[in-house]
Amino acid sequence: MTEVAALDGLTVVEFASGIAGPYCGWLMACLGADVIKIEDARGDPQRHLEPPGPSGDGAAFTALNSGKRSFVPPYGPVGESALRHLVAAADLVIADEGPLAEMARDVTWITSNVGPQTVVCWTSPAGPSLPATELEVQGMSGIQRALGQFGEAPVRVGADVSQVLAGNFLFQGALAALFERDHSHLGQSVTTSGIGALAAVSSIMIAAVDDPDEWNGPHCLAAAYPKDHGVPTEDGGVSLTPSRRSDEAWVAMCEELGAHELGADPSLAHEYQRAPRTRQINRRLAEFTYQRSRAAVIDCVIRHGGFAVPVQTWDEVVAHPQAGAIDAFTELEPGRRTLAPPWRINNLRPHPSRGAPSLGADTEDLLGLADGERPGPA
Amino acid sequence: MSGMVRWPARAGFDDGPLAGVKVLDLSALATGPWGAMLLASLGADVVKVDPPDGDHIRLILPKKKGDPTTYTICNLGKRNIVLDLKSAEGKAACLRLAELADIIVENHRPGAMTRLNLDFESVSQVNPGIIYCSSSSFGNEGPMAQVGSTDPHGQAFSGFVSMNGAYGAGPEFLRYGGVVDLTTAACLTQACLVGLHWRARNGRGCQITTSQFEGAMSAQISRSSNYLVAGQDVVPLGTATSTYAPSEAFECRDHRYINVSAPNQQTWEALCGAIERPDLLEMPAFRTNRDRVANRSKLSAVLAEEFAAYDLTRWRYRLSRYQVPHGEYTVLDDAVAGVSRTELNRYITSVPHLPGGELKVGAPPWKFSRSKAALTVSARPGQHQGQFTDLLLPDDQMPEGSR
Repeated sequence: MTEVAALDGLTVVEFASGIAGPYCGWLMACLGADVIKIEDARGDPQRHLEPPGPSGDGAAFTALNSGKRSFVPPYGPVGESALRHLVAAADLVIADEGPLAEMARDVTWITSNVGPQTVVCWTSPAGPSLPATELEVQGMSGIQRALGQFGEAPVRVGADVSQVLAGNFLFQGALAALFERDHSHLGQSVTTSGIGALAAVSSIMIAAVDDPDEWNGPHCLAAAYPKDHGVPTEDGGVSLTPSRRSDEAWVAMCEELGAHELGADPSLAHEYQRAPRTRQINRRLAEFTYQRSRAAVIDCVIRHGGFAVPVQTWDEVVAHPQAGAIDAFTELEPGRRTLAPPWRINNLRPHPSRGAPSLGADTEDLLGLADGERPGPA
Repeated sequence: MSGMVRWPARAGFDDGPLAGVKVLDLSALATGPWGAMLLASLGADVVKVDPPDGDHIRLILPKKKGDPTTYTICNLGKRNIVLDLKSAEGKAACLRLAELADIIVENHRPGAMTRLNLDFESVSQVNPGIIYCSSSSFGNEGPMAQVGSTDPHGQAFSGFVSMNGAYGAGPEFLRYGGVVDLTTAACLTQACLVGLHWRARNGRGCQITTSQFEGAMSAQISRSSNYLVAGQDVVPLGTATSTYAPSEAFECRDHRYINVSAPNQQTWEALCGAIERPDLLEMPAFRTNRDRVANRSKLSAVLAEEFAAYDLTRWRYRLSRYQVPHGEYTVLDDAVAGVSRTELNRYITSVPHLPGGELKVGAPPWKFSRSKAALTVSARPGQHQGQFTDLLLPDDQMPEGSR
């Protein structure tokens, strides 16, 4: 049976720079939407950030903007009119508070030019008019309680987690509003922020410290724990959980690792005794794992019914056969990839239909549109 | 169709953007349930099925007024029934619910639902419109398909850990926050919403899968591009980033830290104004962003000396005046306790807690101008069993003409 892409026929106009808005637009492009990125003559500032990829654009720009078209409206009435037509015909407009949104003169320009059925998506790092980047948002969110160590300098989450999640939730809000529009025939606006996204995914931590009966369990106490590098081996850290199903498997695993005393410890003989003592167990196992190879430790844990995985660097992530088995990346050219969307539909990974556009690559095509005409597919 | 068994109507919140969408939540622990919880706060009618011995997330501490907090935040706004899916009756009742649902959410090991005859193919035979959304550990194919995973395993395997930590130190885990679990859950929610649009265009259901591996990778799309697109290793940088400089925490004279970032030339010039160092603008090592990224350590040392000279409050005024992105550190526990009022407090909301009183949670992450999105109380296991009585009867006891 032939399949139509999930967002086939949808027109999206994107006035967004940075990560959150473009991430939302990129997911839509991967699902068959026609996403038109509006840029000024300098382009999305993300094009100019480090490190550059083969096209000369910043690597993250390439990852976040593949599958889109790029439109640079010329100064003057022709550009102005083209922009108005694009926005009026859009099913969805994505905007943030960055310089590309400023091109639309001000925020009311967008709302006054969209049609009654348009869904308008807004995002910002930390709410309107508070200048902040990923680092400041992470600091405001309190997430650093889960990293680093008391008395030492703070550490951030390496990933741009607040911005990507703001985009993740923006995509959700947009799809929900578009679904509702199918019945109501009315558009509306959807807003997310980086700080709001981080607060949402911190819910487990937030609820845990809201006056609990007792301050127990790792979600309460993690802030006081030392840094966690995983269980050490000769060649890198491992994240491991011994078998939860069988007490015999636990003993056998300890025997094989040479941790005889640990396996014979009566206070750890049963799963219900071991489950709350993961940190203590991992500390004691470390004495036996640090002089073994990572592969040997992982193999031993898995053979005895537990699960264990290596702490991988990105070259290892890419090289691991699991990434290939689930088609996790989009191949740009040999050796150059971007991450693909995090789901498969009927076992097929959606991929963007083309790479990231060069600045203004589609301006001419889009300027040729007659009044009121909807932009056609790329 | 009178006389047919129906999905029982629910009272209360039903005006979100997903009003009328019926979700059967067969998941457990955090990822599946929190993903389905997001659908519930968008207005979907979510019925969660728990096994007779309960969702094991109930064992995760702490508790508030006797109820486990992590279970609660993962199950807000749902109805709950208990079914033994290993029994023939339980399985039949579940299949009946599946027949009436729009979406199924599950997060068991690949193959587990097939053994229960509740997989996509089996459900499709009775409900060709079903949108079947699964989250696994590492994906449902490949050498890791049957390896289990919790939040830290997903972090480790996906590269997420490799970019956290002090500069030059070993990579470190995000400790016990469940952040990667909930990020994966957000990807599962996306999958469900994508499924609704896919079904609208194709006129039939579909199967959508995600995994903790994919969810953890998704959060790294920008930083991982350094390796994937530009061939550059991704390493821990403390509070710095690889894309622009400066962006770092600096220790002030009063030993408090302030985060300061200059993501573009304009803010870099403003920063030099705020710290009264216009001479830095003339230094070749710091002229462009590319220069500053290449000379990050040198730049950090210069700025660290400036920030150490005055207290944080002074810097707050200076950086605000010059519109330089900056921020202070929130202690999450203090913000939740209300002993400090910070930006984070605007995004914490209270929900009714089942044993009484309220529980603080991260607010739903979207605001709609017209539709409503809201969090409501979490259900006790089996609390809504009675509403589903007809559906749960064995076949030979079904009311006349109901099937």
